[in-house]
Amino acid sequence: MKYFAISEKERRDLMGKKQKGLFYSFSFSFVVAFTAGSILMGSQYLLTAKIQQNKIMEKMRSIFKIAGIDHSLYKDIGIKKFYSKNISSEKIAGFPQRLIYRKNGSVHRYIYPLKGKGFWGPIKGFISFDKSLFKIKGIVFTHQEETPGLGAEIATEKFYNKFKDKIISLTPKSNKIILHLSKAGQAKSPHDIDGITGATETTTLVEEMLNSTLKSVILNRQEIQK
Amino acid sequence: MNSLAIIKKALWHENPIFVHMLGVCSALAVTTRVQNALVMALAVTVVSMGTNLIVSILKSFIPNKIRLIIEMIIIATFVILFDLLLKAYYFEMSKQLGPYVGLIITNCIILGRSEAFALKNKPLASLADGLGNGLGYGFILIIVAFFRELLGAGTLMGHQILPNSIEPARAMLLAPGAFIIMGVIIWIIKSIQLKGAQS
Repeated sequence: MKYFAISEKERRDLMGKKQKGLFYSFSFSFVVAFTAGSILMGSQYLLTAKIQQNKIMEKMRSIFKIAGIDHSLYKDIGIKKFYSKNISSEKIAGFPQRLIYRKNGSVHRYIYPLKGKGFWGPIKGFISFDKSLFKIKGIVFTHQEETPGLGAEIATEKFYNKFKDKIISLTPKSNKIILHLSKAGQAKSPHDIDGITGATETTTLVEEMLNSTLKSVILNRQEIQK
Repeated sequence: MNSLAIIKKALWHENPIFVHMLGVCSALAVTTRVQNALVMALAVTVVSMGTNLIVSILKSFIPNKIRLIIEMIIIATFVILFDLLLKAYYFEMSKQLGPYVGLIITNCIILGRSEAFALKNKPLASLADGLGNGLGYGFILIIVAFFRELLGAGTLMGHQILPNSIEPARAMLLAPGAFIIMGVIIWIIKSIQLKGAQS
């Protein structure tokens, strides 16, 4: 029993009288392609809504998590209801769009979307701040294509927890670095966050992405204070 | 040859990975986590069984000249279907496997088995051959993933196993680690097989 190791003659013998005409080949492949296409179109049609739903629910769950909303008891419908009731979107000219989570009517968390390039593909996520826009309350990466086990570790609780309660401000030395992802285990200043070993490139790109968002958050904050 | 013998043969003496060296590419790619390996093994088994069955049923109608194209259409249909189902019902898993599910279409085990077996055998035997080859591929995947996840990340199925004081060897998660582990496993299995053949 070997792979591809039969001669053309053997094959013809095995398949008997299947050397049929051109018309037969055309019609046969048409029927096969049509059947396969119909099956796929049908299942796509039936499943698209469910797949879209999964994507929306995942986004809502991520936002809930970093906004500090316990959603473990909610079903999908409950999450949607809570979301449309308490979370609203806001756009101030010149600043990125942000989400606001209001608790009992007053602002509780600001959530900014994160978007940037990673080592292998785009990275997307959300970051949440307290109402004064000083403290990071949570971060989540909803899309990343980094190396499994290395760069992909950015999308783990372990990494997320490092951001909790970090205070963002412009550092005195330069007004460029807001958060600095240092080498693992070397975080010293309050603006330092341990990076990921073996994923220097991903770490640097995440830092870039964060800082560009954080810069506009700081500007946003100054705007509010005026 | 009964179904059981066909499955046994595909698992050991004619194993797609360590005897025929087929499907090695995907075996290296998805084995960073045991969980990914499990789902990949399941996907390949399902697709291989389905393709073998359909090809075997259609074998007396498929024109010889265009048989490869027909086989590819059947394989692609099964893979896309599996991918859609994964996205709809196991969204987390589909996110983790990313493009690898779609790449099952190019897995040579499936085309190889439909060419070499399903075109010449009865549907039931072909189904058994698909099952055997899927499992034969899967168990190697799981062994490789076990060592790579344990040594490279210190976890198994996402749970921490090694104490935090031991720094895991990250290289195991990269391609070289996969080649080393795969090579060692094939070496061990081959020497067992050779010993069996001598005695």
